Amino acid sequence: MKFDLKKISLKEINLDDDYFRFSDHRFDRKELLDSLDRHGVLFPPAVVPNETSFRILTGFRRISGAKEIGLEKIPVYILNNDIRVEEAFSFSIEENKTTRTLNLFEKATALWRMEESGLSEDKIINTFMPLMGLQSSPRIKEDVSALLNLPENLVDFILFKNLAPKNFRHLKGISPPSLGFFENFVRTILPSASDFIEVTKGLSDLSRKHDQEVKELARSLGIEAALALKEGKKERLEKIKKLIAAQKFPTLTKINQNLEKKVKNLESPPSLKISWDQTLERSEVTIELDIREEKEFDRCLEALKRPKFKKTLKEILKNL
Amino acid sequence: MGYKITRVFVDNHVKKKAIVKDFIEKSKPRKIIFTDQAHVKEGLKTYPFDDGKRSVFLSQSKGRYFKTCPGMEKPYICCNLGVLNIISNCPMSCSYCFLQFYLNSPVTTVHTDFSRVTSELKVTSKAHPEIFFRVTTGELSDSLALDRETGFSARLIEIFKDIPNAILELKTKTSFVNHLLRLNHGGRTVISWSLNPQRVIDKEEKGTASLEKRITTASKAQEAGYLLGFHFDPLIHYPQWEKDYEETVKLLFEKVSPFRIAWISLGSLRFAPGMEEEIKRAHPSSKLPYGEMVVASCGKKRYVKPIRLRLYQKMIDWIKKYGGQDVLVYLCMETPEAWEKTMSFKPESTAHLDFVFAESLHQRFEYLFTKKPLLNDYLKGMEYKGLE
Repeated sequence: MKFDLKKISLKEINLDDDYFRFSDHRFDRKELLDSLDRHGVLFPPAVVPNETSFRILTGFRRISGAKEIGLEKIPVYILNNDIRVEEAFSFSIEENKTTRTLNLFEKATALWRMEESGLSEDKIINTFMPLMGLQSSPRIKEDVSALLNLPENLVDFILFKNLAPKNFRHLKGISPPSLGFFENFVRTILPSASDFIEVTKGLSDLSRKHDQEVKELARSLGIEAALALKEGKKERLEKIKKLIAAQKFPTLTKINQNLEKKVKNLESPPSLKISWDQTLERSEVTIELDIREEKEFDRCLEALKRPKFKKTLKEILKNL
Repeated sequence: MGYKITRVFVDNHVKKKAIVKDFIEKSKPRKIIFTDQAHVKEGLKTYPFDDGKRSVFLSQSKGRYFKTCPGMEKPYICCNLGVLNIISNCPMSCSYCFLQFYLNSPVTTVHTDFSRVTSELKVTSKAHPEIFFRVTTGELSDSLALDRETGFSARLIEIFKDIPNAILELKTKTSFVNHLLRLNHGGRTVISWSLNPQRVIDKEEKGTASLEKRITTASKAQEAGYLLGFHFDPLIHYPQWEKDYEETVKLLFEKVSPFRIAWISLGSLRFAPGMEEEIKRAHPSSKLPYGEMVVASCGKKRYVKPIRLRLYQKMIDWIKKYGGQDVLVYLCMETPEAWEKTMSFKPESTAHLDFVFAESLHQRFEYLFTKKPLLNDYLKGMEYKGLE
């Protein structure tokens, strides 16, 4: 590939032509502007000449920053105008890699741009996805591309938490009002990555199971109300998770609640804990004694000896 | 009933075989591609799944064809079924099918070295005359879906007729049996159907025969003297399941005599890790991935135990109600606990269950045996699991 390094006027560059653009706005603009102000353009962008102006191939942010701080001329690499689309994308990705790592949203944009430019699916998957550090797979392509249809706040969250594509693929095909509910959830609760996945995936699955919108479901299940409670974030999150689990596992929830009630009725001392596998897969009950003084041990022993205890234990085991 | 094959890939190593010529003549594909194995495996990775369903790869395998069903490790109990992996994959499109995730190729592979298949079978069964082998071609494929093109089943029926300690099971969801009805099978072939209510068939078993058709065809096979088998696997849990499954069992016994049924299996829906995500993608309208399921100790996702047990218990009750007490019912890939809670009996091991099969068949179809099966032979005979 041939190219010349020249200084050209910013007026000659078509800033509206974003054919090759996939950089997004989530970056520290101030840092870039300061650097441009202090040193000028250290890494020349790449452009391709067309009939009347230059099309930007790489360096969209550098060029717009240069314009913003009032530079008139900047150094650029000028590539031949007979460069093939495939070469241009390849150059653009490689050039970006030398200065920073593309985020997932930028990768999604790049995939979309490639598709729009008519590159074959095979080429995109087998050549460009590995070039961007993505696994060559139609599935991954589909998952990553889903980011483009998500509202900005959710994209910010996903990038901030560095979620893998498989952890947000369930948001594909969800209507904008329902995505709005998830945005509200993220804004209000500021969940951890695993809580975000549990809640959004749980609700998405239930929505598909019942052919009902996430937003409607959140309302009818009382999740929307739980989100608006005046309690702390942690308490609200726990309530929401419980409401989802009760819908997802109605049989288990009912049986476990019933067993918990039986255990509560035993009125055992607090140092005696009875537990079981809540999935009910393992047919065993665990009895733990948390003893700090001798008296507690006597109290536990007394509780264990009661006929009511044995009867309840039998009942629990029958359900497991 | 047949499946339109649009593309046939032929492994260069087998291109001169008569079976290949025959397959191509009968299937009349639009495209025939001569290639090598590695190319097909690599090149088809990004193939759309449905396209792969209409493509067949004629090849041969370096590994064994006759194995035992991989089953599951303890505590799960398996029935120790022998499998002849002569075809891998299937042209039908059941949403829950493990093959679409288990096999690493979207095309259906037909192995052409039939003589090796039969020699493996004969050598193994001869080496263990004390064991009664149940052998199926329906583990990695539907036994009859490509029979028009391969003719494999008729040839196997002919072979099994003369093996004194084995029985062939042809498992299918098709109604394609007419070509088998006049064969001399010697009563050593079980034709079995996977059954589900029509509501499930409509939603989850695309490209298969209707329930009515499967049962009518089973009745035809019974008239032709074949033993029958039925597999309620996977049992699906959904709001109307009780009504639908009871009607299905009732319909079955209205058309089929329980006295010619070799066995009925029950198995609940289960997913290998990652499979439910693939179902969501490949079959977006399916509700199966949203069932009340947990990861069981086998690592697979299954319905929660209370649901599984209820499914089995109800099915057993209906089978007894409409088919009588003597039908051999077994649970596929379940724990001893599930057996005990639903059948009041639990096999001690896979070998024990294998023996229970032999004993039950001996009691009901004595002609299949040259000697009475003995439990000790089966417990020792677990060594023959080393078919690999």
